Amino acid sequence: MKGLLIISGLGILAMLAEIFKFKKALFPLILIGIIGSLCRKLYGME
Amino acid sequence: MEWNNGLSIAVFDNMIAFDKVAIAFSGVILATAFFWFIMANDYFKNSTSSLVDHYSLVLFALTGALMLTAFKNMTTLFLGIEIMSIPMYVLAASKKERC
Repeated sequence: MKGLLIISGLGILAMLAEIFKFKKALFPLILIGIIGSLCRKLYGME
Repeated sequence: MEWNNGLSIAVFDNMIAFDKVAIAFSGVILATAFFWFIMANDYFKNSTSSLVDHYSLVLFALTGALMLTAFKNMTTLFLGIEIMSIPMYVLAASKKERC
């Protein structure tokens, strides 16, 4: 469930990046978020 | 580790449940999305369309796909299909150069 929330939050963050102009920081944040969601699902921290 | 215990974590009154199947398929989908984002960064470098728009659409489609791996109720299945497919409709129609 937390993994789902992380991915949803990243989607909202991507839209906010367009508004508040932090596009350069978005790509590493998304990659870190996906890795975090993957680790959370695989290592049973749900 | 959740995989070895064989437990199923149910949320929202057993509408979504994360069991071994959900974790396995979620892992495959998340790994695919990870590589998509790496390749997209290079692909959209010279494109006129906004990269951030594509990122947000793919992330919302990813959310729907993750819901589809863990459904236990037909309502959740329908929600997952709709959440995944509507951003894909927009992505499919977003290629303006060839129109």
